[in-house]
Amino acid sequence: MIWVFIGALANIGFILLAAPLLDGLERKIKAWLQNRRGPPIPQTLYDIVKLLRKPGGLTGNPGLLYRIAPYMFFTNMVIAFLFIPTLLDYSLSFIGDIIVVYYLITASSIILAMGSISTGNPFAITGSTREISLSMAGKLLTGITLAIFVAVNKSFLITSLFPIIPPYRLSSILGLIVFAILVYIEGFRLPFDIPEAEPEIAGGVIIEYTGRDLGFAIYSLLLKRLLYTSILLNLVIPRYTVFSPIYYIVGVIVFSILFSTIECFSGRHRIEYALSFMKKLSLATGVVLVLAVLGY
Amino acid sequence: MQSSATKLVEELGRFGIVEWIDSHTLIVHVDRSKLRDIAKYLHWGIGGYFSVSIGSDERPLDNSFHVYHVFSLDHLGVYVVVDIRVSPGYLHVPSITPIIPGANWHEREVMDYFGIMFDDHPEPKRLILPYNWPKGVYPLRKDYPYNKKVYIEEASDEPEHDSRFAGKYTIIPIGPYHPALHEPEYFELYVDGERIVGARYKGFMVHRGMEKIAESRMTINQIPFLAERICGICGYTHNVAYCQAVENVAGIDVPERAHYIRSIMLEIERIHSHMLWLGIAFHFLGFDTGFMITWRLREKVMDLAEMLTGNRKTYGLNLIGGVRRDIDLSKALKVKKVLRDLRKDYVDYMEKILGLKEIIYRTRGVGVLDYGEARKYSVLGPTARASGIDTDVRKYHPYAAYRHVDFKIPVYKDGDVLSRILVRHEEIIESINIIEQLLDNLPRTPIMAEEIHVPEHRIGVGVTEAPRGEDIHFVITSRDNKIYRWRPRAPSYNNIPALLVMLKDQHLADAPIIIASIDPCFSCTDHVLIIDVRTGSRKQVGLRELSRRGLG
Repeated sequence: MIWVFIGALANIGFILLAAPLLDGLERKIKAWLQNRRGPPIPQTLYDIVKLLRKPGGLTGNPGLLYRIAPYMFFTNMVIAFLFIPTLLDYSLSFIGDIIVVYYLITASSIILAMGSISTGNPFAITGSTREISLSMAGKLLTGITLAIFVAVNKSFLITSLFPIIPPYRLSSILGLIVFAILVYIEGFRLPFDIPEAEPEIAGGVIIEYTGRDLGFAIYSLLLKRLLYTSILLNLVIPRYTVFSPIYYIVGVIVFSILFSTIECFSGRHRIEYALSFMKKLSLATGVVLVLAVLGY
Repeated sequence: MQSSATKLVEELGRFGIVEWIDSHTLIVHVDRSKLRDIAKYLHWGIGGYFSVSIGSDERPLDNSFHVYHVFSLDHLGVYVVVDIRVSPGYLHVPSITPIIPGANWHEREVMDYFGIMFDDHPEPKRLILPYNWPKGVYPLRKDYPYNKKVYIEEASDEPEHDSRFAGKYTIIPIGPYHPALHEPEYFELYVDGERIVGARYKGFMVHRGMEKIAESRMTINQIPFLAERICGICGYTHNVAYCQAVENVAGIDVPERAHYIRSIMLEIERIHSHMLWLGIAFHFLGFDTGFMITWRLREKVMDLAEMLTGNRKTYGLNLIGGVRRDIDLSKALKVKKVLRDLRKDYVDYMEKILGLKEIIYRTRGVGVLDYGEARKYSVLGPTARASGIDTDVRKYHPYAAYRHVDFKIPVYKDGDVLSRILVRHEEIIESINIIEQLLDNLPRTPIMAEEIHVPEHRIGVGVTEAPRGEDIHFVITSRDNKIYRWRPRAPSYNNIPALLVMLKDQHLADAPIIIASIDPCFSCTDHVLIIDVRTGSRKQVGLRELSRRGLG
């Protein structure tokens, strides 16, 4: 038991380092694709370290929610990672842990958006309303997709869902495809980075943060991105072998390359287009869930 | 052509005394009672368009003020200057804004600078000068020294927001500093959820008083260098327009080679300006790869400019009567090689970029300015051509060497952002063609006129097709190698007011690309404040309390 806990903590240490480095890698890949040299791979890490060392500062008199949002978001993400095996095969688990993870992910977005609204900054408000709309659609889709895997495996234990093993069922394959799309969308990647949309609303939800607060907000967004990727990876890579760490590392790098390449050739959507896309996807996924329940 | 011009002179004779001031510019001295009739006739009657208004304090010359309205008649290749003499005892002129809404800013600028009032102007408010500028102080009058300081003591009583929208809707301030704007200016958008219901614009934050400096302390041949500094992107076109204005007055025979070199540099400037704009447009659409590609290609054009003139920007190439640097054969060959490669790369990339679904989706049917509105506001250049107006100074009022080259004018009818992208895209390719033709036929003549004599107190109009549209410079010459009155008008001055039409009922997400779509050059324009017209009441946005708190 103690080893499981130590292993899970080691995983946390790893992802805290990996999340910014992967972002750095994506920046580098995008730079290559755009014929630029790009920043060094640890640049995002440097940026975050620098921000964390600066004092935070808040304009006006924003609500308590806004002050604590980045820290709650960060804590939520770290706790969620305790339940997901990443580099090592260790993770905490109990029946119903999938619901806890789902709650932690959903609550984070809501906290960030609600906190942002309380600042009164019109850009933050616009960003937040976009974040809430997108997040509702995204979280609904996450819920349905996870439910598919729960239905297929007939278990509420996260680790029992990983990986998808033969005999492959139609619903789990379709669920996997939807989840891959979802990982991209929930990662705030173009064309879905609408809540921040730098040229339009100047950072949106995170516009009012600075210094340490901003550092934690950005760090948490990167962790969330990695959390989704990790869940996706766990669905496909073999676990409990000596090669698990290698599979995992290769996996996240492959996904980073893939996603940053797609991002490089996309423009930003308008919110209503993104929402209508997710609505259609949710309906289709609902059908897949029915298939899963029916045993296909 | 000759007969239609003669007919025009006869027609204009009905309104006042008509004179030719050079081979393609007419002046009509009209009485105030005939002003609106002639404005209506020129803008709406025979298919011309209103271009610019100029105020002028000519009390030292004929003891009166003058207001000049300039109209372009593309189909005849003629500019018509309508001159109204204003007595210092009664500084009132009928406003033409009720007939031509595009004249709004022009007349208000004259009000600010000269204290001439325009009767029945729908919006007789300050435009350029701050609200707390002392009353009765008019900076462009001749009795106001250029170096006199004004001390502003009163607080400004300028309304903070548009009262029709403030309090009802969320206010999104875009500017004075915002990632979507590369110059200081301020758009206030009133949004209902994500939909823009109204907008207010306030500009003229970078006014540098260039006209006053030029009129007061610069010589004729220094002003080209000042004119070039009006804009950091298309400065050379201002330089050429000014030089042409003076050359037209003086009847200077500019050597053909100088004309060719000017045209070559103007087209190089157009290519780099359009590429810069395309990059920014892609950035606003969230497509940064497109931004990187177009800006990388643009660097090749900047290198060409540096090779030909010594500078990437602000070439300092012109003097009255010609140019200061020649293009030798080896440079011409290099330019041709670079342009050949550039065209191939550019066409290749743009085909791929314009095939992207998101780009088309985000720009088609967005920020529409239909033909009728475009005519009302006298919009110019690519903005006009995207709204179905076939206008191009290079074609219809040929200057420099444009009469010797063959090129197409892209015109689209949809009036949306996509059309504006396509117009500029095609213009880049046309510009490359033009430069190649000019380099192939570069005549062997000197590059500077030998005899230059500028007569006193004559009016000159110089016009170029800047990357953003018609750029017009109006000069009145003076003695002692000076200019009595200089009024440059950049195309954005006419295009920006039309933005508020384009923004209405659009998505907030599209605001940056719509604002960018006219390729606004705020430093060129140097000025403003306009309010959108909207009727009826709307449901209130749920978060308005919070947003008000944020602004309070």
